[in-house]
Amino acid sequence: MTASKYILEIKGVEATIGEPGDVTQILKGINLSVKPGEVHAIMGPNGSGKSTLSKVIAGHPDYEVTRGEVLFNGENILELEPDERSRKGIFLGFQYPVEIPGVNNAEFLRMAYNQLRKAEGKEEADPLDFEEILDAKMKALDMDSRYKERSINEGFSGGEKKRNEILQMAVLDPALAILDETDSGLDVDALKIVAGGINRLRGPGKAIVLITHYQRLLDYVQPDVVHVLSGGKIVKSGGKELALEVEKQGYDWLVK
Amino acid sequence: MSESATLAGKPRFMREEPRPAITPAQEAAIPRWIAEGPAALADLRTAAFSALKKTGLPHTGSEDFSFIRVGEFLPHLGPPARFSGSSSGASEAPGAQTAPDAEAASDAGTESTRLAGGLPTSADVEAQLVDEARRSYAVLVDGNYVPELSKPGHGFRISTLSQGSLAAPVRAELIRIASEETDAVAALGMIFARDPLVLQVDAEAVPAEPLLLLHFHTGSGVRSDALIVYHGAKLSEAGVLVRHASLADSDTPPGAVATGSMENVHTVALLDEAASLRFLEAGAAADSASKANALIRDIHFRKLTARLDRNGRLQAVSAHTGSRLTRNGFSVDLAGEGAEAEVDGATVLTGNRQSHNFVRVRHLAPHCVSRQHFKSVAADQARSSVDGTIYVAKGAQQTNAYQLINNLMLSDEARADSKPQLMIFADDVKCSHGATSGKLDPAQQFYLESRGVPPAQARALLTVAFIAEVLEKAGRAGFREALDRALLDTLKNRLPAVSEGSRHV
Repeated sequence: MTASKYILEIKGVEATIGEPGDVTQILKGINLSVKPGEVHAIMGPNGSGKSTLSKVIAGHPDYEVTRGEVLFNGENILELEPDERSRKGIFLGFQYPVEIPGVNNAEFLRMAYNQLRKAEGKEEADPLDFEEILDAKMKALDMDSRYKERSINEGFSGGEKKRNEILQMAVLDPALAILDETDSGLDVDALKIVAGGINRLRGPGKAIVLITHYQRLLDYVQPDVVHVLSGGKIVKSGGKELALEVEKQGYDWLVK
Repeated sequence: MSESATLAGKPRFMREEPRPAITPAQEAAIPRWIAEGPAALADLRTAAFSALKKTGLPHTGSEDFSFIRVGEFLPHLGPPARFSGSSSGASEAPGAQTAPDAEAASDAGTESTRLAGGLPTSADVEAQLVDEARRSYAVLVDGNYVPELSKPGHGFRISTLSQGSLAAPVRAELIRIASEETDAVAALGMIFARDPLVLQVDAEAVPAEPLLLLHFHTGSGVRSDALIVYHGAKLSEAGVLVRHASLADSDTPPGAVATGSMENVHTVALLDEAASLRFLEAGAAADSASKANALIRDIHFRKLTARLDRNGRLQAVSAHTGSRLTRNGFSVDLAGEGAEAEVDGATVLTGNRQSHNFVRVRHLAPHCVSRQHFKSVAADQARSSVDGTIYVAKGAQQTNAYQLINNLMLSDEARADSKPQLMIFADDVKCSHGATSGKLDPAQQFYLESRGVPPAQARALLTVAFIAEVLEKAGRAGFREALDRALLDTLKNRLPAVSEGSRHV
């Protein structure tokens, strides 16, 4: 499916935020390679740059990449707009999904789904066919059909918002999902459901990057590689035992 | 002044300033117009004339026109040519401009000859109907009721004011309102409206279908004055839907009518005890080039005056796309205990269009509730404003009132002014107001784009969502569509993705 052996390659990425005169460098040379079929976990203390990394990959306009490359299936995507990246198969699950009053959740999902189909040269989905797809995905995530009637995330609890993110991911079926603290704000039952949704996305052509503070999500979604990000750099990479190590000892031993 | 603090007294919303009176041409013409007109309308016209003389014509410093260039519409305020007195009246003062011959000729004609040529076809009417009022509508052309094109639904009694169908106390109330009118343009409308349409819903009647009022405007280059009087008797419950459509000739090239027309449409709603009225108004849709041209040319003055008796209920929602100059007036008196009014407006403006809302909600009795929500979207060099006052009279205790104004600016050159005001003379009330102005939320935009929605479509979706909050209050699907169309056709030209986006809201 692709000439590149990696789905995602991040090469020496440095990124800043801020207006001219008040610029803060957050990423200070990130290198990361993710192969199809892999699940990577990125852990790290607050302020280490985890969320920034996810937004840089998705193309958030507030961040400027000052050095390095982000390759998706071998193609440098840094010049692409966020919507173009999305249609290529990159999905960002937000740490804090915004509420958008007035935009219906289900209709928005259908719109996004059809944008994707258009990009793939397919016809728009019939509304009834789409509803079937949506109902099945919602059922798998134990979501009440009421969520179809509501505006995007409006009045949703923290856990409901996260579940809605996973629903969007399930509908768009991306090649690469970057999930930014999708586990935060979830009780154990919800965590299991969300983890189930993530595991269903796993597959030979797909990759998932989980950004998390805690290892508890990793009990349900087994990572192939764990990285620790600190001070805008990856300071250690290892197998899933690294996550357990972090859980036990905290970050201090890695950061110093 | 002391009278402003009494329940029955008439509060003044503005400082008393020296203001020009009416023009000599009007001074001369109006009494003649009244004398030569139907005797049955003389009392109303005389009352409005006295109000006009008190108020005087608007001028540059008029506080009620803070955000409007008065010079834009002043030339349209003259009397019909036949009554404008000496020909010198045309140039001697603002407001005295002689109206074109068409108007003079029409004054002499009968109803049918006057309207000949300017009548909408039944297809024009059909095109404006909405599902919820397919069997209940009344057609007006430049303010004149056209019975042969109308089909009022069961429960609405329709007549014209000269037919004398209003009961004496209701009529007295109408005359009182005319005599206290502080808006010169509304007063002029009450003087010059030919034979006001009267809609009545009897006590305890609840018409199954709302009545659709179809205002067709011929765009003849002159001012047209319309007055509609609605009377809801005790415990009645009805809906009045209002649509405006232009009959502007599609062959008219842009700029062919240099001055444009002025539409002056005033609806007076009198609600008896526990009567309830839904009043939804949609401006003309710019769904063709000629209609869009008409909107660029024309001046629209609309006003809803409502008086609610004890436990009366009013819901008013208006959706407009502005025009060269649009002014939407709302004057709502909560005159009986427990009355409740909701007044909402949605405006989408592009190009150089303007729309100005002028709202006066007066709490004159205790335990009344009023809510206002105005939302405007301004793109390009468009201008909008909301000048809104909540007045709470002394003794109107336990008032609960709020007003919210939200402006969305789609360009750096667009302008939105907000002037929320509270005037409170009671001490046990809950009143609040607020105003915001801003651009689209970049976080929301990024969220949509990150799901593959192209930027233009994301902006359209968010813009429609912004305005939808007010439109949703209009409820039922049929008219909601008319409101949507009025607004979204305009947005489509500005944001091509809107047609796709709007389907998803």
